[in-house]
Amino acid sequence: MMNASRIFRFALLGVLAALLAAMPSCYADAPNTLCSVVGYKILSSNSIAIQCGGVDTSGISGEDGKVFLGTDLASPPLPVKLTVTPYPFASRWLFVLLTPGSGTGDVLKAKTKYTIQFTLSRAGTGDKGATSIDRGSTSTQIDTSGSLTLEAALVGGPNNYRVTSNLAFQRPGPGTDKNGKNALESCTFIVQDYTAAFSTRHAKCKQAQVDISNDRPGLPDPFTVGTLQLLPEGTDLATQGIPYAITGLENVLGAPITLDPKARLGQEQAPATKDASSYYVNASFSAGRGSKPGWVVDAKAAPPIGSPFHGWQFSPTATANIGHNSVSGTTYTDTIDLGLTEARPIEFGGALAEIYASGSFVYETDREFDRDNLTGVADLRYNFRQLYSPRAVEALRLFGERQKIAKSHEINLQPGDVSPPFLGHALDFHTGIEFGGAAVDTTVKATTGKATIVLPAYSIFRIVPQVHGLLELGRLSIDATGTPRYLAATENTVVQLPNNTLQLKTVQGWHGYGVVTPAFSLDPAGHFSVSATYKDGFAPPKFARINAVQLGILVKY
Amino acid sequence: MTPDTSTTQSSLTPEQPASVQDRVAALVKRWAHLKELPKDDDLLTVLWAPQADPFDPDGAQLLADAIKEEFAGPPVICQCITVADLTKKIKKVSDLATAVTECP
Repeated sequence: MMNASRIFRFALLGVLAALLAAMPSCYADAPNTLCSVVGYKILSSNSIAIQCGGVDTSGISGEDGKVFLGTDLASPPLPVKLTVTPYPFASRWLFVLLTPGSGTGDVLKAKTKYTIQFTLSRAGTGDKGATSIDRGSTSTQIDTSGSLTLEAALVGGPNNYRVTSNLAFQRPGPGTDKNGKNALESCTFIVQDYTAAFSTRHAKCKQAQVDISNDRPGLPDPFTVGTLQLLPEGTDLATQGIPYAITGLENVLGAPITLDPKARLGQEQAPATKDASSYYVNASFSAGRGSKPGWVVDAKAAPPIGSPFHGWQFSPTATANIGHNSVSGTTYTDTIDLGLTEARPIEFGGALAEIYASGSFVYETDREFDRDNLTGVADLRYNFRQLYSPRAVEALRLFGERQKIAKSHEINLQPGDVSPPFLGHALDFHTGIEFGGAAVDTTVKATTGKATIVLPAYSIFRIVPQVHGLLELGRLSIDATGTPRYLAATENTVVQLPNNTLQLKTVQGWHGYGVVTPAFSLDPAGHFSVSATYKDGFAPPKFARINAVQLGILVKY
Repeated sequence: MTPDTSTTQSSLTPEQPASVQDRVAALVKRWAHLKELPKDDDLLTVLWAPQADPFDPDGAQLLADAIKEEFAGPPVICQCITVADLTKKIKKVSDLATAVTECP
């Protein structure tokens, strides 16, 4: 039997529930802090910019702020008023203004640690249109000793370094002109050796701090505060010593700043393969008793020139595979190719997702410069939706989906944690033309014997549709390319007969060519794989019938 | 130096000034056709993966071109980011914002 006390408690709960439901607004403690601090920049002795991790700070305001000396929150706070507002035009940052109790004076001193604590709130619209206010307390430690970190820059060449600090730099200073405007200026940096002896090195410096807008002078972009670009002079940076400081660089609190003791200058590593290199030269020489000296040079220069120009990326290409006499174990084709390639992706919104347009001109000759072939290639590659899905890309898509779920469980998922699916595929289509010709007559020699024949000059104009497909089934992949090439102009070619004599032929019309390359990876990481390449058809420039299988073993580390 | 912060924060629109981070985030959202702004630690290759063409070179070239167009004038000028930078060194959205401030 229910007694009066229990009836009263149920009634009270009912009334409270009804009141809560009827309230136009409610207060709710947010499970997070509204701002998870991931960084800060000290703008002056009275102001700090605080970066909130991945959070839009608009609408946030702060109250009940306290500043403590050091990390002891049990000690009385400093007599400072804290005002927290969103940083104007920087959606991930808060602006913290520190006003001393006396009204004037500096709050932050150099080489001191502080803890600041404040409560943040943000009004929002909850369920049923009710106004809700999220609240959360935030505290972070602020260190004004501010040593500098030194890292290799992400752009701008191997001698480009980024120096960063949590404190704004004095302006004017190193890396600015006399008016305090960012400028690439000569500067010096101090290095130490193993005996702690100091010496100076020459460099160029440029501060990176900019105002958020030209219309808002004096409002720095917090992301650029305390950042300086350092370009040391000289080539062997690693032997220049242990970086210690940048001469004359002071922080906004007026204290000189030194580099993190772990900071080092170092050169980036060379690319591992010829394909990954922009510049590549492999020269071999041989000499021995009773034989003529020989040399072989295999060289490539294919640096993309700068950033795209109106969407087009230009890349000059120069390759040479030439030699003289023979070097044991090395063969060469005696070709020099000089060319220029330009390419541009163009996006579309429908089923056709993208067209990748490319064009190239190649001048082909040999070491003696007695061949003059000039060819141009224009190609359009069509990418349709749903047709590009290699296993590696599909793994990235899966990672993107699973990463969101993992984050909600506070798990730090890495791309390597996601296994690629068993099936992968890609299919793209090309249309293109090849044009040009052999400008002068050339003499062709038989590969065996002494037969020679003159190959008269000819013109080239070919229409080149192409289909390229890739099918991946676990470790097995099959890459296939089919090219039905139409020769609109009659071309000359030389064929070598079984008796090693040479015969001049003309070719025109359709000449198809196909390449199928199955490959099987022997280990899950793909370090070892075996491949077979099957070629069938007629390929330029000779258009002799090819029907061949090549087997290979690929080792990658 | 105490900056003038009298203007209150508001959401980013094309007409408004914005920090380098916000401009890069908005640019990456447009580039990868995202529904919401990317996070600082999002990988560019992962953001691009739903597209129908490869990141290298197609996506990287489109991004390099977009950066060049976005940061064509003061206060931040960045015309130096290349396809090679995007395929070799710049991995995350935050790297891209950092790289924008590093152009000589």
